Amino acid sequence: MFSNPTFVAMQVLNSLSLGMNLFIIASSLTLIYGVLRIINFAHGAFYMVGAYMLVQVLTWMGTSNLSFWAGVLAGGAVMGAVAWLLERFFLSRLYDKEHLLQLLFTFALVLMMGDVMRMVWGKGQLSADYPPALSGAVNLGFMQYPAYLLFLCVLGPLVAVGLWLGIERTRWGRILRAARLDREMLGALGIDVKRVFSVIFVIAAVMAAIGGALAAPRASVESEMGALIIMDCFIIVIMGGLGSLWGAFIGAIGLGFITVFGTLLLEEWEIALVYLVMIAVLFVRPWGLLGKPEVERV
Amino acid sequence: MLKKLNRAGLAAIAAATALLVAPVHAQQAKPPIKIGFLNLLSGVSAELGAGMAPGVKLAMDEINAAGGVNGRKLEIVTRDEQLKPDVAVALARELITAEKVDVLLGPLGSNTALAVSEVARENKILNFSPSASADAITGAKGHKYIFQLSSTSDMDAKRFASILKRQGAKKVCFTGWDYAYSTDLFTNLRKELPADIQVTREYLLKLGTSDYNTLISQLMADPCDTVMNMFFSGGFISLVKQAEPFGLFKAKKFVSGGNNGDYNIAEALKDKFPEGMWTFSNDLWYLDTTPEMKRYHEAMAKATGRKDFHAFGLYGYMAVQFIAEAARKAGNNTSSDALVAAMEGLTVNTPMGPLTVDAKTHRVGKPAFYGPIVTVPGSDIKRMQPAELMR
Amino acid sequence: MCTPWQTRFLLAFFAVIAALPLLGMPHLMDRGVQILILCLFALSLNVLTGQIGSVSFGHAAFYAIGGYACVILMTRLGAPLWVAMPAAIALGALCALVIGYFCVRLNDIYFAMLTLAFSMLVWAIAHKWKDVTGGGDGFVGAKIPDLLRDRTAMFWFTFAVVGLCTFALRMLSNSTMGRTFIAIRENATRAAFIGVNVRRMRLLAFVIAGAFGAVAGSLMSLYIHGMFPESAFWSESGRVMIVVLLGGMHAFIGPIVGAIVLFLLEVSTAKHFEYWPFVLGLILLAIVMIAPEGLVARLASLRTRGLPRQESGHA
Repeated sequence: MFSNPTFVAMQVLNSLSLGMNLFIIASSLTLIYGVLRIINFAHGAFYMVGAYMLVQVLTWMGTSNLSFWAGVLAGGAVMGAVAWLLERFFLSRLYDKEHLLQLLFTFALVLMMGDVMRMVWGKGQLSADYPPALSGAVNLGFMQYPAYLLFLCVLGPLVAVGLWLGIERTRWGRILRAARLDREMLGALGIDVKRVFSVIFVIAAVMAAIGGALAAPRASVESEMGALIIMDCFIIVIMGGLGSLWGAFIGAIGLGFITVFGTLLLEEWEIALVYLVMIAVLFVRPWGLLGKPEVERV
Repeated sequence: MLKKLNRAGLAAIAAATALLVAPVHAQQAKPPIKIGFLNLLSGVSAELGAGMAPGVKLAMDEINAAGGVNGRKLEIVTRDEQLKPDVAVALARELITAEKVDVLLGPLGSNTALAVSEVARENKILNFSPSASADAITGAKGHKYIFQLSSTSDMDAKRFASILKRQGAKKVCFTGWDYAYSTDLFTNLRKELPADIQVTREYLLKLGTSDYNTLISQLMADPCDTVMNMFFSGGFISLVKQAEPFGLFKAKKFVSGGNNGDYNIAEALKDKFPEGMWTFSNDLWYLDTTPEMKRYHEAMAKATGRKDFHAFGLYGYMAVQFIAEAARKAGNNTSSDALVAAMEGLTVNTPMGPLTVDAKTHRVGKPAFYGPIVTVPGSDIKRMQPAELMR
Repeated sequence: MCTPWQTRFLLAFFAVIAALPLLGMPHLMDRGVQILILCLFALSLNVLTGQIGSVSFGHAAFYAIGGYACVILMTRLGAPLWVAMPAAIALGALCALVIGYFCVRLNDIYFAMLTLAFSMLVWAIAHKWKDVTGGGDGFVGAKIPDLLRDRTAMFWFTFAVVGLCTFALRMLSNSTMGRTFIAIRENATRAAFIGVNVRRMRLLAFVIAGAFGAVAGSLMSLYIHGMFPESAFWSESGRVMIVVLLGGMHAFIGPIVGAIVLFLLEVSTAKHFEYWPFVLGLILLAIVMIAPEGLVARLASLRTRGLPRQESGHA
C-alpha cells in the first residue's frame, strides 16, 4: 500500500486538508483560552451553527459561488450576534466565578444549541455542495485531487499567518497579548477589560462558525457534529499547548496525519489511538508543544 | 438584589419541581390494540423513518376506517430509536411497561433491532421487525416472539453474488458502516461468492461517520474492480458527493445494498448518481406490478401529497397489515402467545401479492426490486431500468 | 459530612423507595431501580468531586467498566453472580488505580481533560473490541441469574446493594478520612503542611469513587441485561456531573437530591417533549447562573436565614 507514491501523496493531502479544516476552529478555541482562560465546550456548537447557516443559505439561493460565500459569511454573522448576546447576558457574569462554572455554562450551551438545530432543521442529516468554482478536481500531474480540499490546505496557513500578524503587529493584538498576561494591570492602565473579553469571544465564535461553514461540504451537517468535533479540538490544543496559536497549527496538522494514517494502519482502532495520544501528551508534557508550563502539577 | 435573585431562583426550581407529579396512567377500560412503533427519526438515515411513518399511518387509517380489528381500533405510539441500541432498549422498555403496548413494531436499524429483540424476549411480547435485514435477528439470536418482514442478509447475499457474477467482477472489496447490517451481509456474501471471484479487503467505518475522504483514497488504491457498498441513505449521498472530484466512480464499478435504489436517493444526487450502478429498492412508485400495488401507490400519493413518495412506506404498510391480520385471527385473546400462534404461517394480501410468514423461521422474506439505476428520458432523476422483482 | 438532618432525609428517601413495590405497578419498580442506580452513581462521583474537590469529566468510564465486566464474566465465562459482580467492582477499582495514578498528578483543568480522555478511550475500546464487548451494537442478551429476571427480585437486590453502599459512603464521609478529603478540598497546601499526603489521598478518593461507580454500572448491566459503549461517552459523565451539581457537591445527600430531581424531570418531560437535551441544558444554565452551590445548600440557607451567621453544617 505504501509503495504506491500516488496513494501516499493522496493521503498526505488528505491529512493536510483535514488538519487545516480543524485548525480553523481549534485556533479560535485556543484564542479564547489564552485570553479568557475558559475552555469553551461550546466551540463545536458554534462550528455547527456556521455549517447549518451555510446549508440554509444554499437552500434559499441555490448552489452557486455567490450563495456559497454568502452562506459562509452569514454563518459568521449570525454566530457573532448570538455570541455577543451570550457573552453580554451570561458569560460576563461568570468571569469572577470558579472555572468549573464557566465550563458548565459552555456545556449547557452544547446541550441547548444542538437541540435548537434539531428544532429548526430537523433531526436528519443535511449536506452542502461544494461551490462550483471549487467543485472539480485539480490535475496534479500524477493524480487528480479535489479542488476544494486543496483550497483548505492553502487557506489554513493563510489564516494562521493572518492571525499571527494580527496578534503581533496591531494595537488590538497588543491588547490581546496583554490581557493574556495580566488582565488586572490592563484594567489599571485604563483599558476596558470586559470589552476586550467580549470582543475576543465574539471574534473566536465567528471564526468557529466560518470554519464550520467551510467544513460543511466536506462531511455532512447534523446536530451531533458539534459534539463530535470538540473532542478533536481539545486534542489539538492540548497537543499544541493551551493558548498557543502555532501550537494549534502544529497540533492540527499532527491530528490530521494521526487520523488519516492511523485509519490506514489501524483501521477502526484509530479512534483509540487519538485518545492515547492525548493521554500521552497530558502525561509527559501537559502544557503541550508550545505552551507555557503553568502550575498544572500538584 | 441578590436576595431577589435567590427568591427568583428558588421559585424557578420550585416550579420545575412542581412538574414532578408523575402522571400515573389510568388503566384503559376500552382496549384499542396498541402498537409501540420504534421509528428512526434522527441521524444519518432519518429520512427512512420519515418515509415509513406515512405507510404505517395509511394502513392504520384504512383498517380503522373499516371498523378496526374485531371491533378494536388500532393505536400507534411512536418513539425515536435514533439508531442507538441503548436508546432503543430504554424506549422499548418504556413502551412495554409504561405505555403497555400489545406489540412492538420496529426498530428499523439492524443493530437496534437485535437489541430490542432481546427486550421483547424477556418481556414476552411480539416484536415485528419491518425493515432490518440482519439474518441474526431471526437466525442465531432468534426466539419465539420475533418476526422479520424484510428479506434477510443470507438471501440478499445470494442475490448480490449472482449480480456480481453477471457483471463479470473478478476482484471485489467490501465497504460499509461497522455494524450488524453490513457485517452480516459481508459474512454471508463471502460464503455465496463463487471461487473465481476474490474478495480483496473490507473497509468498515464507524457508524455515523460522514467524512469519507480517507476511505475514498483507500478504495481508489485497492486492486478490486468492483466495490460492494453498504453505505445507505444520507451516508451514501455524502459518499457520492465527496467521491466525485476524486473520480472514484470512473475507476471502480459499484454494486450497492442499502435500498439505494429508492427514488429519494436518486432525487438527492440527480446527475451525480453513479450511472448504471446495480442496487435494490423495496418499492418503486413508478412501477405497478399488481393491482394491489397500484391501489397502494394511489392511496399513498393521496396521503402524502406527492406521487413520488418514499419507498419505505411499503415496509410500514405491510407490517401493520401483518400485525392486524394476526390480531384478527387471534380473535378475542390478543395475548402475546396467541398473537405469535396466529402470526406463524399467516398469509396476507399485500401490495406485492400474498406473502406468508414462515411458521418455523418467522421470516416473510419480502421481495425487492433489483436493477441498474440509469438516466431515463424526460427526467433529471435516474430510475431503475430494468427492474427485476427478486423473491 | 452527613449531618443529622441529612441522615433523616436519607432514611425517608429509602423508606419511600421501599414502598414502591407495594403500589402494585411494575412500572414504578422499574423506575425505582433506575433512580437507585443513578443515586449510587452520583454518590460515587461526589467522593471525588465534592469531597476531595477533584472535578472529573470521565467518571462514566468506571460505570462502563463495571457493567461490561459483570455481564461479560457471567455470560462468556459462566461465572455466578457472587463472583462476577465483586470481580467487576475489583476491576473498576483497579482501573481507577491505574487511571488515577496518571490523573492525580495534574491539577484542575488538566485533571479534568485527562479523565475525559481516559473515559473516551474506554468508550473507544468498548466500541472496537467487538469479540469481547459486542462492539457498537452493544453487549446484548447477557446471562442473568434466573432469580434476578424477576422484576421484584431485581428491585430488592438493587435496593439492598445501593442501601449498603450508601451506608458505607456515609461512614466514609463522617470518618477521619472523609474529613481529610474535605480539608484537602478546602486548602490542599495547608493540608500538605500538616502532614497529609495529598496525592495519595487523591488517588485513594479516585479509587473509591471508581469502585462504587463500578457497582452502579454492574447494577445497570444486570437491569438492562447487557451494556452499551455509550455508557462511557462523555455525555454520560456530563449527566452525572449535572446531577451532583444540581443537588450540591458539598452536601452528602446533594447527589441524591440531584438524582431525584433530575430523574423525575427526565421521566415527566421526556415522554411528551422530544427535546430533552435542551431542557437539561436549561437546567444546567439555571444552576450555573442562579444556584451554583446546588439545591441542598440553597434549601439549607433558607432554614438558617434570619438566624445569626453560623456554620450551616453542610460540608
